Amino acid sequence: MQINQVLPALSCHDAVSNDAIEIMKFLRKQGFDSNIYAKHTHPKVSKYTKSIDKYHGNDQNILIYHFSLYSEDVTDFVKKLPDKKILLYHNITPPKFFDGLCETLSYSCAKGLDELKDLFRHFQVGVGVSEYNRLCLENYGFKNTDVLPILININKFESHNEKNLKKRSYIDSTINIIFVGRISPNKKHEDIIKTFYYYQRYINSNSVLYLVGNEQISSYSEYLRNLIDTLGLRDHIIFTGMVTDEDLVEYYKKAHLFLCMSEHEGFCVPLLEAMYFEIPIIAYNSTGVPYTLDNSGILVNKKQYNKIAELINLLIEEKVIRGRIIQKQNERLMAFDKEKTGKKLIKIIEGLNNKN
Amino acid sequence: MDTFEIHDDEIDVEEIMKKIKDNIRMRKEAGVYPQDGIEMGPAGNSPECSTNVQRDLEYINANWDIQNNSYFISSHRPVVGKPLVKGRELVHGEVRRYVDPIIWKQTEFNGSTARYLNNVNEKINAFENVIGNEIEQLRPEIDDKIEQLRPEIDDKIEQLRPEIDGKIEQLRPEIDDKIEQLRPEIDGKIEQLRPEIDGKIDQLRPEIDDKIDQLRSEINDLIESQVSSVISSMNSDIENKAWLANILEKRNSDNKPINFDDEISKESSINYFTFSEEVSKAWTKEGGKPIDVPNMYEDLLPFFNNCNNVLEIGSGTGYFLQLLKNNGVGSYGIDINEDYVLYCEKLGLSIQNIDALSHLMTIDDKSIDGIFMGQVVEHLNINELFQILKLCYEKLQFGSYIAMSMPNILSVLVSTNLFNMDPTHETYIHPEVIKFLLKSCGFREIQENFYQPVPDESKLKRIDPSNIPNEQINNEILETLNFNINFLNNFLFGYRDYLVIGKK
Repeated sequence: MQINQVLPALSCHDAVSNDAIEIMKFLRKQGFDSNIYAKHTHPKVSKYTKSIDKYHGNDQNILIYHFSLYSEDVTDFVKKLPDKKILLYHNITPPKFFDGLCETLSYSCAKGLDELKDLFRHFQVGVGVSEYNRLCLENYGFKNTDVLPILININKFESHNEKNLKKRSYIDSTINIIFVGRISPNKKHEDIIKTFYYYQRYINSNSVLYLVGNEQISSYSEYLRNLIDTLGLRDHIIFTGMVTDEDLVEYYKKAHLFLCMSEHEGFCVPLLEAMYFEIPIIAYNSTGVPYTLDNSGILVNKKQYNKIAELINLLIEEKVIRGRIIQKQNERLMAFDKEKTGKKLIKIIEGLNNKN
Repeated sequence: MDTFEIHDDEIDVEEIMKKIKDNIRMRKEAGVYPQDGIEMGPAGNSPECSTNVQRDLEYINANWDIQNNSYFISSHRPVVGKPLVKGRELVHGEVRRYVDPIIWKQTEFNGSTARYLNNVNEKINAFENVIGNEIEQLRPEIDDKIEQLRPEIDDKIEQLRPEIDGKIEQLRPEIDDKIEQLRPEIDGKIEQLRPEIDGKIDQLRPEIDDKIDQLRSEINDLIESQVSSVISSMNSDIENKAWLANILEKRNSDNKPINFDDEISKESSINYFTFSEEVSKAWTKEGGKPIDVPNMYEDLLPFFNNCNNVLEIGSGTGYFLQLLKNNGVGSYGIDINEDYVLYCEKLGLSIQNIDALSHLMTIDDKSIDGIFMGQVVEHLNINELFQILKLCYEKLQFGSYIAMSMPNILSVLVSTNLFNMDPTHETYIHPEVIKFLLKSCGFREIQENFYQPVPDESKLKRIDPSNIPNEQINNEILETLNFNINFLNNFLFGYRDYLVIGKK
């Protein structure tokens, strides 16, 4: 029996591709014959994949299809395979976020969600990477559902992270606020900027906001830059673009607070990264975010920028509260232990085998 | 729905929200924040608000070229790759012969349309700019014209003013006539309504009179009660003075010093400082030597770790205050006994001579981060204790602890013997009662522990089978006997001290 994975594109520095690679490594370590088949592959990760044309399927095999974007031909190909199939749902951003900013993405997201309507007929199990995604699958007609968190290799940061994290100073130093995620309208960078405006302008002028992530939609980036100019924050907000793992570690190491105002997340891997680097998290209570944080971090229910800015100040200044938040985050991070998630995957696979 | 959610019992979200609101208010008052919010400017709106024309134009400009020039034929197959590429190139070439002209025409058409639309858009923008500029250029001219015309308009108004005044003067008699004509009519109406209003007043008069009478008697009662209270307090003052005079007179007649012991309460006549030492000796004699392992005070230290302002109520000889001080915990004590206070002062401890209720009522809410009461609660009646615990809750900071030790009355030795050695003990405090009181005041995570076991030599002896010849041992009877002895030992000679801890 083989346990294979299919996805339209295997890229580098994206959560879905990293998840697929980590799942393959884990399954191979457990003694399974396991491969990744992709239609497109980034040259940097080509060693992990085989071309999708080479896969013909087998009714004894288990196939995991990572579904996160519209790809009609790959989905049709998977539907026809005789394997026992698991749909691993990473979520698709609602098209409304891209309306008027990027018609191509808006169209592709709408088509992806259309495609999902029919998939429960072709997959034995629907698995969400978060409880939120599992609920979405239920709404799309999946009866047999489960949750498998992203198999994150958080230890990859260890090699770049030799210095003691606790040396980060909260007193008399430039306060660095960070958000990590591609510059996309659903992530609501404008709300991060407006909150930061209150903090920088009225509370602590010695502060910088780092927006780490790839810029994909030029009109959205242009809008954000106009907003920054209007608010006079050009010297205090830094767009880093896409960064290497080494650089990402550096940004996390100097960050004092992680601020997420996103209104659509399937899982949000950067939340776990912030937990790992012991950065207190303030995040908007939306979609997959509360499920990933569970009872850790601070959830924001109303986007009242001045109050959020004051909360940032409180977390920076009050060591005891910050300590408690970080302690809860550390406890939460344990739930995403690679071994635990791996066991869950094996359980799902065993369940599928026992059923047939 | 709250603005923020923090799922941690150790963090008081309400307190955080209060701090946030206070900070915003203070910044507003200090003029840091504008009073009526902050204008984010036009760019603060969501990006979806950009005009449809602009958005469509961007889309057209990005997508007008439909030629697929980025496509190139390749193959990753090492051996068959080259012929495969050749074959595909051939097919591709053939297809392009038919498709390219169509694609080219379409691209040309799209390009022309895009250029045209861009030109039109530019023209419109240019027109808008021209019109805007024209308006800007004309504005001073228009302003000048208005300025030029202003005196002319003023002159006209001045010219017209006598005419308008004349008209008004002409109309005035007419208006006055109208008013005069209407006056009798209005007066008639008023006269018609007068009896009706008078009737209403007459109807209400008895009711108003009743109300006034009622108020009058209430006021009189109040005055009488206050006068009688003043008189009674004067009487009591006179009686007190008479009592003092009586004593002085008695002293004069007997030529003896005054013995206040008969007049003042029994409790205050005892010097607890010396008396407690005697009690503790008797306690040891009746209950056995003290056993300090485990040590209650050492066990308490983690609860007050990192605290800055722990209050000990009833500090006595200052043992716990000293221990806190040695461990770097900021603390102070209070005691009603002056001798203890002087003793603690000599030890260099921070101490005040005041009772718990008076002290707790004077300090700020949430101003202390720990409270300890060692062997105090049994000296209070239940109402005083409850009142003190309620105040303790108000004065403690969120997340800090209160700890209280007391005689363990579950032990018969304590409740029938040791407890009664101290006549200033007022109340038997059952562990369930103190836990209930703590919970009633709002304390949570209640923990309890027992200390000071009675030494084995003071307890009933177990039967040791090794001292009995084998043939005489009846194991069943022996086990039952020892079980009963254990049970009685626990019941009669249970732990002497009980400790309870609650968290705010």
